Parts: sequence; structure tokens; C-alpha cells
Amino acid sequence: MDEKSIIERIKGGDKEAYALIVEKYKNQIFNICYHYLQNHHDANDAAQETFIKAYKSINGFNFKSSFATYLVRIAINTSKDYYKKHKNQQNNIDIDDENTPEIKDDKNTPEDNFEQKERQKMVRDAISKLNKKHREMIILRDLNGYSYQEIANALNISEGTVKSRINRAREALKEIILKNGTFL
Amino acid sequence: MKECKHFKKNISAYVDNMLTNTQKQKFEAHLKACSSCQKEVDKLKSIIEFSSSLSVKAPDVFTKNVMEKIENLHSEKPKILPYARYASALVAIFLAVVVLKTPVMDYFEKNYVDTPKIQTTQNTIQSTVKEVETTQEEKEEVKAFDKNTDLAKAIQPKQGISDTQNVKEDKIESVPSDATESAPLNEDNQQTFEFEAVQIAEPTKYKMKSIGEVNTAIIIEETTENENDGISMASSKPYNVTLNIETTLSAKETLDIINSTLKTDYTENEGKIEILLSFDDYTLLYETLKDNTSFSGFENVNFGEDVNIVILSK
Repeated sequence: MDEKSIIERIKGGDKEAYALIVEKYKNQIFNICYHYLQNHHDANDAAQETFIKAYKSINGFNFKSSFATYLVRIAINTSKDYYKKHKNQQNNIDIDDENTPEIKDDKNTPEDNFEQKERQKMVRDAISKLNKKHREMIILRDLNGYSYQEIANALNISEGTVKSRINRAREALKEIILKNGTFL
Repeated sequence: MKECKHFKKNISAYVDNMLTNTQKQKFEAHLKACSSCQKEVDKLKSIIEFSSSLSVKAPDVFTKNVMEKIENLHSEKPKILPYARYASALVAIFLAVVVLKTPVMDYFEKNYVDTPKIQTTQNTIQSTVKEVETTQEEKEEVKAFDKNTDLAKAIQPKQGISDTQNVKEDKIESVPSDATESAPLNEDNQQTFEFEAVQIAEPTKYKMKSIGEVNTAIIIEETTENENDGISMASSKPYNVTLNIETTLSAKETLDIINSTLKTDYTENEGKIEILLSFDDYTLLYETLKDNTSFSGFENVNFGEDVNIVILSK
């Protein structure tokens, strides 16, 4: 069944069909929330809330954008809300070595793998130091691979704005990385 | 090189394959001649590769947890604005009773309806019946109101208005059918709302005005005509609907929430702030504001593609 039919079924009252939507997008949405909030627990809450909000308002979804961008928009707004509500609580950033996916390549020597891991760490730390607008761009484009158009739809901005923001975000990221040591 | 500055602006777009063919050719030609820009491209590609390696996965139980929470939601169908068809009858009943006081009201009170004094908790609408000032012409028009119209059919004998409203049962009382004056404010000084029908032109607009202690009114106005508009008074013609929504937040607080929730421009005009929202953005706003805001009756309106929000500060 294609996605449109699944959504029509959900609108018609088939709650269980929504599980298919959640399965399809859970990693993308979790990824957005996790890198925005930089905390596993908060990301889990925000991501779950995203899907619940999307479910509650699904009758208002009119297929003019893709369901992915609809979810992304809700995820970003939910993450922002979550951040605002919890920013006075103790900062609990847990984007660390333990929670970073392995980047080992079997073709590499152990030394190369170590070096790769170090570079990954540098990029990871640099992303967490970006301001929110830049981080948003890196999360959507580089971590999740959304197209410029999808990002434009999700954030309700023009493609031209997406293009220049991505450029500036990556410049900012590169500056932070280079300040912190030798990368390349 | 001087032109490197120009090309550096396009590095991201080049790596993302977002340049036109002509731009791409020029860019690649420059890269062949400029090792500095080529290094920048390589650096960026490497950074992007590491960034994408940071993608994480949701926990295994994620879907199960979400579906459990959805199961625990109210058992009704997923909704934002449900029952467009039913809403027209429900709201027609509600508005007809409180708005069309006499002589239509007298007619129905004598023959059909026990009119309860509706009282509600703080967060729901309490209505008082107010005699609408009508011109002589309008009075005659209303007298010609026939009990066989859709409106009459919608108001069934002895069916309480309470069927359509959130009410506390112990507070419902009947009023004498010859009551024509507004019911007094209750002892607890709860907010009351007056309703007036404002006949401007076809289609008819209805406004609720608060006379209680609220700080900000948000007018939600449909901008497109829709066959299934939420309020329909015995007519198949579409209506434009304007509802005032009362919130305990100040205009500034409301606007802050709107700004933080949505990336939307707004215009200020004589003390009113006007924002045009897409339907999707409106649903997010509704979710954000609903805890501080009385949206009673509003959920049943079926909006078109865009909604105008006008914020009035007290």
C-alpha cells in the first residue's frame, strides 16, 4: 500500500495503520530531535510527542506537502518548545562517545579507524557548538539528507534561503572544527 | 584568486548538486585551475561524510510506545476539526437560541423548547440570552419564520441545549418562557459572553464578544469559502466565519508564542496584529495555545486552506 492510501486509512479511523508511518519515519524524527536537544531522554520525549501531534492533526493534512516535511516541521517546533521549557533545568547533553555510532571500516588499519573516530568526534562536538539555526540546517541536510526543497517546505522558507543558510552553516561548522585542531 | 570568493559561495550548492548545468561546468573548470578551491571542496565533502555518520536510530520500543500513547488518547477518531456536518446543526441550534431571541425565540419557547440557563465552568462558554435589537423590517422578516425550515427541524421538541454544550448538570435551570431580559451574572462572577448577530451582508457573520476578564481576543477568520463551513443556518450557501477566541495571555505573550512556534510574518494595524497562517501552522498554534485559551465551539469549524488570525489586546 502506498503512503497516501495508508494516510487515508488513518484519517478514516484505522489507528493501527499509523504504526506503519511511525516505523517509516521514527529514525529521521528521532535524529532531528536528538541532535537538536543533544539529550537522549529529551529526544525520545520530543520525538514521541511529534508523532502524537501529527496523528492528532492528521485530518488537517491535505497532501500539499509530503508527509515527511509535515513531520519534520512538527519535530522542529516540538524540539524548540521542549528546549524552551527545559532550558533552565540542568544541562544534560549526552552526545558523547558512548552514544555516537561506530565508524569503523574493515578495510582500514586500526590506526586509520582511530583517526576516523577522532575526526567524527570533532565534527560531532562542532555541530553541538553551532547556533540553533545553523545546527538545524546541518541536521536536516547532512544528518538526514533532506533535499533543499523539502527543507524549504518544512521550514516555510524559500529554496534560495535554504541554499544560503546551508552554506553559512557549513562555513560556521568548518570554522569551529579548524579552531579546535587539525582536521585535514 | 579574486574569483575564488565568488566560487566559495557556491561550494555547498556544488557538493549538493544544486547548481545548474552551466554553473556546474564553470565551477568545475575553476576547480581544475585552483587547488585551493579543490581542497575546500574536499574538506567540505569529508565534513559532510562525518556529519552523516552521526545519524542515530530511535530506540527499539519507540513505535510501541507511540502507539500505546495513541491508544490512550480519547477514543474518538483522529481530529482537528471534527463533525463539520454535525457542527452546522449543533452550532445553528446554539446560536439560534441565544441570538434570535424574539419573536422567534418566544415562538419556540412556547411551543418547543425548554430553554435552560446554561452555565459552564471557567473554561467553557457561558451564555446569557440577550434581546437582539432588531429593526421593524427584521422583526417582520423573523415573524415569517416558518416552523418547517431546517432551523426548526434542527430544534427538536424538548431537546435541551445542554446536549450540545459542556455543562454541569446541576447548574442547568429552566427559565420562564416569557423571559426576555438577560439572565444576571452568576454569583461566582464567572465570565459571561454576550452574543450578537451582526447582519452585515450575505453571508452572515456572527461574533462573540466577551464581557469578562480576558486580555486578548484572537479572531479566527476563514479566508476561503468552503461548502462544509462549520456554521450554516438553514442554507446551503457557504459562510465566512469569524470567531473571537479569548485567552488569558496578553497580546505580547500570544505573539511571543506565535513567533516561537511558527516562522510567520505579521502586520500591525491600528492596535490589531494580523497573521496569516497555513492550516498546518494553525494546528501547531492551536496545540500551543490551547491550555491558556478558550476554544470552545471553535474546534468544530472546518477551516479552508488559510486562516487569518487577528490579535486584539484589551
